[in-house]
Order: sequence, then C-alpha cells, then structure tokens
Amino acid sequence: MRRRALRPGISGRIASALALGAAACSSFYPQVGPSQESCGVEPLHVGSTGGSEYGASAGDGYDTSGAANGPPSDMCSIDAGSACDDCESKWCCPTRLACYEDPVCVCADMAMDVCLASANASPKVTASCWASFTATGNVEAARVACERAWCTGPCAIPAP
Amino acid sequence: MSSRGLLLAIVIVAVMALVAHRPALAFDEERNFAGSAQLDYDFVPSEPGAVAAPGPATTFQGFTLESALKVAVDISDHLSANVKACYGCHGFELDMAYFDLRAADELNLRVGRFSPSFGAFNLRHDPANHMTSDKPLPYDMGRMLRKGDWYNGVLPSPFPTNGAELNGTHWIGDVAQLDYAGYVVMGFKNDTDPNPTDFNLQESHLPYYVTSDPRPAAGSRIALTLKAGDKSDMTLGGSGMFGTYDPNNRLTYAIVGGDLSLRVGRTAVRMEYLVRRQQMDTSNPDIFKYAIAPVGGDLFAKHGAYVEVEQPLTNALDVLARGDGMYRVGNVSNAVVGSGSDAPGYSPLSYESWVARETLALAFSVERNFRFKGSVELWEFSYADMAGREAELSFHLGAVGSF
Repeated sequence: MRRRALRPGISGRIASALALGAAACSSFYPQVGPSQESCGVEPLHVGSTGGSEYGASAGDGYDTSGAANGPPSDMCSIDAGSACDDCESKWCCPTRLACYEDPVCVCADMAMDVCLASANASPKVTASCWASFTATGNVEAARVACERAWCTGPCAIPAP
Repeated sequence: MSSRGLLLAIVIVAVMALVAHRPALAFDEERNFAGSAQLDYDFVPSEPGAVAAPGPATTFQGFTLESALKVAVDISDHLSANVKACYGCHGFELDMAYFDLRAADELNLRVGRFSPSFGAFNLRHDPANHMTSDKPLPYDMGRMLRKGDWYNGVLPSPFPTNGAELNGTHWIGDVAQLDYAGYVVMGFKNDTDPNPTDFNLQESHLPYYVTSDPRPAAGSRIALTLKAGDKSDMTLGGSGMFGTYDPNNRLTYAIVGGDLSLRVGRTAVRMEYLVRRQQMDTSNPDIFKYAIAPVGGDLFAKHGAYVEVEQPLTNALDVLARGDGMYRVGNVSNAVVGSGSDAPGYSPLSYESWVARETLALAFSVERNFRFKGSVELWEFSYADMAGREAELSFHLGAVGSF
C-alpha cells in the first residue's frame, strides 16, 4: 500500500515544533568552563560561608598553611627574594592578600606564574599572560592595577 | 499602546462595567476571622553543633513557629477583601492584602499583595493545610538541611508580592472545572549584590516592599479538574512565570511547573515538578567556581519535584509518604547571596548537584482543629559535608491548630 506523504506544511510544522522543543530544552541546560579552583592551592582564609578549607596544598610555594596563615604582614614582608614581590609587598599588600584569600585568584596567580615561566621572555606571550590574569575577575584586576601603578618596572608589566 | 496593554485595559473596563451594572442587592457585610499556628521541633542528630545556629550553610534546628491571622470581608456580592499577617522565621510578614472584584465565577480581578497563582502546593502552604511539618523541597523556604548551599527551593512558598491577577473558574457540567489565572506582579528581586546570581529572598520578606527593578514579572496558571463522583477527582495543572530580578532589568528568570493531583476515596496522591532557569551576572568571573562558558554560561537551572501519598488510617490518624528532591545544574557562585559584596566564600555545590529526601509522616488529630505532626526524613546529597556525610536524618515533632 502506498503511504501518503505528509504535506510539506505539516512536516514543516512538526520540524519547527521539534526545533523549538530542542531550543527550549537547551536553554535550560547551562554550560560551564573548567573549574577555576582545581589547582590544589588553598586560599589564605575562606570567607564567610562556613570557614572551611578546601583543596590540598600543592606544596609548590603557594602553601599557605602553618606560618603563612598568620597575620597579613607575614605575606607582605619584604624578603620575597624578587624585586617584583618586594615591590608588591611594599606597595600593594591589600590587593595581594585579597588575591591570596580568593580561591579563584590564588589559582589564577599560579597559572600566571606558569604562563610567565613558559613565555621565555616573549613580549607577546607575556602580555597574554597578564591579560588573561586581569580578565579573570575583579580581585585579579585590582591586583594588577596596583602593580601597574607602583611596580611596572620591577614586575616588567607590559603595557595594557 | 501595545496590543497586550489594550487587551488588559479592555478586560479591566469589562469587569468594572459588569460590576457597575449589577442591580444593588440588600447585602450584609460579612467578616470572617481565621488563623493558624504551628510549633515544630526539628532534630538533626548528624548536624554539627557548631553550625546549628542560623547561617548560610546550616539548617534551622530546634523550635520554629509559623502563625497567621486572616480577616476576610465580603463587602458586597462582587467585592471582597482579604488581609493576612504571618509570623515566622523572618518575623512579621504581610502575606495577603488584596481586594477581589468579581464579575462572575469566570472573571475575578485581584489587586494588592498576594501570592500569585502558581502550582498546586501554593494553595496548601499554610501549615494547617498539610500533614507534614515542612514543605516539599521545590517549595522549601529555609527548613531544608544545607539550606545555604541550595539557597532554598525552586520557588520558595509562600511568595507574596504586589500586583494584579485576573482569575476565574468555569464549570463544564458537573464533571469538569477549568481554573485559570494570569498576573503581573513585582516578582523576585536582588537589589543588594553587586553581581546578582540569585534572588535575594530576604529582600522579598522585609517590610521594605519596593524594588529598584521597575519591570513587573508576569505569569499564568491553568488547571483542569475532572470529577468522577463525590469522592474521586483529578486535577492537572500547568504554571509559568517570567521576569527580571536585578535593578537593570537585565537578568531574567523563568519558572515553569506542572502538577497532578488525584483523590480516590480518602486517598490523595499529589505530584509536582518545577524548574527555574535563571541568568546570573557574570561580569566578575572570579566569584564563580567554573570559568564562564561563552554560550549558555550565564545561567543555572534548578529542578525540583515531589510525589506524596496521603492516607487516613482512622478518623484521627493520617499517614503520609513523600519523596522529593532537587537537581541544580550550572555554574556556582562563591559569593554569598544578599551579602552585598562579591567577597569570596565557598559553595560545596558543583556543576551538577542534587538532593533527595524520603519522608514518612503521621498526623494525629486530638480535636477537629488541632493535631500533632511527626515525621522522619532521610536526606541524601550528591556531595559530602565537612564531616564527609552524604546522608543525614532529621526528625520533626510539632503541633498545629487552626480556627
């Protein structure tokens, strides 16, 4: 028996309805990028929602356990060993601490150090590292703004 | 004027015209005074004492009181007024303050402060009208475990707000009843946070009943009830709400839901499903756990559902079994909602998180309007708490009375 084909109008409507249904379903299905907190570095103090520590310290210089969890001045003593760190400790302690207290910023900071190390002094890659860090959020942007204001030379911050 | 605005104006004028042309009847103004109160004790043996106090990541253990007083006045055949004041976890709240201008069963205009028609549970949200001490998770407003992690349910109930609603009921013979409602209301808001990522429900329950979000939310509900006799009926309903919640009217939310209620003899079966799709301000990416995806990265979806069966065992004793849960998908903000800052905090939720609960409850009526309630609840979470627990138990014992 010969099947009657659907009229184009009806099949078009069915296709439209299916497309509309798919669009409606996808609009209820959010997307995310990679975790911003999975670098394994603990922030200094986790703020107000529970006071928990999370993420294991990587023991790679970002370890904020023990003595490093002491008063803020410990993190801003001018003995860090590099001109950039010393300058930031001297002039930009609040924004530096704000970053170390932020679980996202502390990971972005580590990512930037890795990025800068792999830049091999390439101006283009270096600029990209700084831009990427700055774009991560307000805490990062504030830290870079202060460094740019006080430590452009010691930190070799490229022009924005 | 837009076509929608014109339609609304026509409807309002029609209501007023119908009311104005009704013959004046001798009418004695009638007042009804009603009220209810529930005292409940929530015992959670697994919760650490350190977080037993109210806080963003905790639950309200111990005693809680929910009480309400309501005055309903029938001013004429076609005009009535309702005022209801509640006292609960937020202190005093004006749950209702509205006028109903009724032209016919099919056409009623409600203006003032009220909970707009959404879902089936909203009608039973008063603790005197349901057998458990707490609400189903999709409608939870702070009684759930780890409430701060979840920031309450999909649509915390009740949700009184200011606005206007057109509703009505049409009977189709003796076997069917069609209910509808459409409304424009102030809706939910978050005027506090620099980067809003969720409703600030505290703002909706403070006496500061204005918002800097000037655009109203709109919604509707339609429900069909089929009656198979005096003792059996079935109701199928659908609801939706859409609006913005930030001062710039930029961040949208949409809530849709479906409900099915079945009553056979003295047995009642109810089920509901809700989902809220909500946009978040992602202009400060570092408050989020995950990097912002370029497409579909500025929203989350919170799903919730419950199924419950209520069965009287005797004239005085009822048993209720309930299964409910929520599923949240999307990016997670670490900033505390309502804190007014984007300071980093910590949310244990991940891209996909869920909570499920199984409840067994008993309600024993001592008098016609006074009953004791007891329930045991098993909670399961997709993530561990600080002590490594993914499952917890809680117990409720309460008493509720009404007049």
